[in-house]
Amino acid sequence: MNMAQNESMLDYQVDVVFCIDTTQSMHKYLESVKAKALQFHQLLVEGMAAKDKKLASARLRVVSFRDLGHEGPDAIEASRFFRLPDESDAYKEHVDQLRALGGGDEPESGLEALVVAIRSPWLRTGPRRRHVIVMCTDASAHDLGRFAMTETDQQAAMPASLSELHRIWGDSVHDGEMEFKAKRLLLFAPERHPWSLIAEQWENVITYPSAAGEGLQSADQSLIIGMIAGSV
Amino acid sequence: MIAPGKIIEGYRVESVVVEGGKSQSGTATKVGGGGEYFLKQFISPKFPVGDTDPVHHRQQMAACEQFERRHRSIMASLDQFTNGSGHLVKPLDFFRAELTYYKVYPYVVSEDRSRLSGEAVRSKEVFLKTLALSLRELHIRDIVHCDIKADNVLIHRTKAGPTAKLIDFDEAFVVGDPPRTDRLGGDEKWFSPERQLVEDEEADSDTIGLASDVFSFVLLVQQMLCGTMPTVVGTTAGGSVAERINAGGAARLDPFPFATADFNALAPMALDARPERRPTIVELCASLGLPAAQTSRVMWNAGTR
Repeated sequence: MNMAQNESMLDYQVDVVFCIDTTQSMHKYLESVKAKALQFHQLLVEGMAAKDKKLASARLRVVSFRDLGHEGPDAIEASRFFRLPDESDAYKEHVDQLRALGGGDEPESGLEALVVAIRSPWLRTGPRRRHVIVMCTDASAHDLGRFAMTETDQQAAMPASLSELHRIWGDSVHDGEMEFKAKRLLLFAPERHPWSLIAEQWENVITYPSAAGEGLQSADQSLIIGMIAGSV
Repeated sequence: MIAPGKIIEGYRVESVVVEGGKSQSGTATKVGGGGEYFLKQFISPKFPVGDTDPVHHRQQMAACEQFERRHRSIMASLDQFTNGSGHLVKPLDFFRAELTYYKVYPYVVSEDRSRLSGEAVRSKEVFLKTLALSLRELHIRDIVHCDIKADNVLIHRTKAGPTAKLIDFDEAFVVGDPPRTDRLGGDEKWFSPERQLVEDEEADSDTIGLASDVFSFVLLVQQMLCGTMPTVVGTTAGGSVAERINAGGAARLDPFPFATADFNALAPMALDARPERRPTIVELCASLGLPAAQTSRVMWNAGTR
């Protein structure tokens, strides 16, 4: 890349929240998911440069979840946003400690994790923002409102149903709680409730059906990078 | 959803294509009919299902109707070409399957765009002329493409040299009937000053007209055939060419060695901050010595040039 090309590259600001199912059934996939999450920043920088775009700000957050009905109200753990590359070590430390444990039988608490992700402290100023949630699970999810959770950073009341959550996500008429143009939900989930319904009815959702949590494999990683680089 | 093996309205998805933007895409074949297609799934809007709020439901229905009307009117306009439209890759089909909208294009493979800037002068001249013709084919139908960028230009090699084929009419609209201001897509690198103001929510989408495409067209010529974006002087602001012009700067172009003197006289005016000062694509085509379009339906609206 020559200097003229570099000068013509526009700055982009990308916030990404990984919602990662850390129940026992994810055991055989979790190390791969973690490895991909750790490579993500560098791949994103390269993917955007290939599109003549510069990553001015990248912040990554992890929301890990198990089953509120099995583990109790602490089954969902949310990190803060890590600003990369400056906070790479802290981000790596957080990702490294994720373990596939518990959860019992499905369903799991993926919808509550999605609420936490949607209500992340997204960057709301500056040009060319993209807010991406990557949901990675191998299981169906409990209906909302069945179990209490420790609301670590939730100011607003939890939605009590999927249709309430849909309103929080928004649509082409009402933005919801996230900026309509900035947001994307990438769904690596099986075609089971409620993910198939979300894939069918919600806007700004890109779905990659994954049998038994094969999400975030190498091919999928390139799709995510391509999606972000192509759409910001 | 776009996933290998899925059959959607008679199209079988063969592979997923990384695209980004406002759609999820894949290659597809027609069940029982062969052929190769490019299938796009729009991620917005979605046809509404039962909603407890009837007002919201009506608003969603209206958004879908506006979306459908815009796409169908563009397709109908493109279908009117009776003398061929060899410089456009026209959509073949647009439909809704369950709650989701899809569009089908012929599958066309492009040559590597990065090689263009190293082509001989004669080849660049061929490319410039076909690129100008492709945009003229839209503008004489009063269609604003609204997403002119390098990724939306396919390169097809002929005996005469590399020719341009314009693709992706998903943001296109008929002059005066643009999508909602906050629902327009596109790549800011290629924006005109007025398109950037819409992005910054400082202007409404009805300020975007054919002249916005003309601005992006000249950026394309400079970037694809010379390998750089135009210089902007008179401002210390950063950002895209449009952002720097909106900050008080002015774009500078060196004459293109592969273009006529008449074109080189008009091209800098195409980068004027004021849309009404820019030449039309019809004028730019004439400056290249291209024969007049075969349709006489060239109607310019001063407010939307």
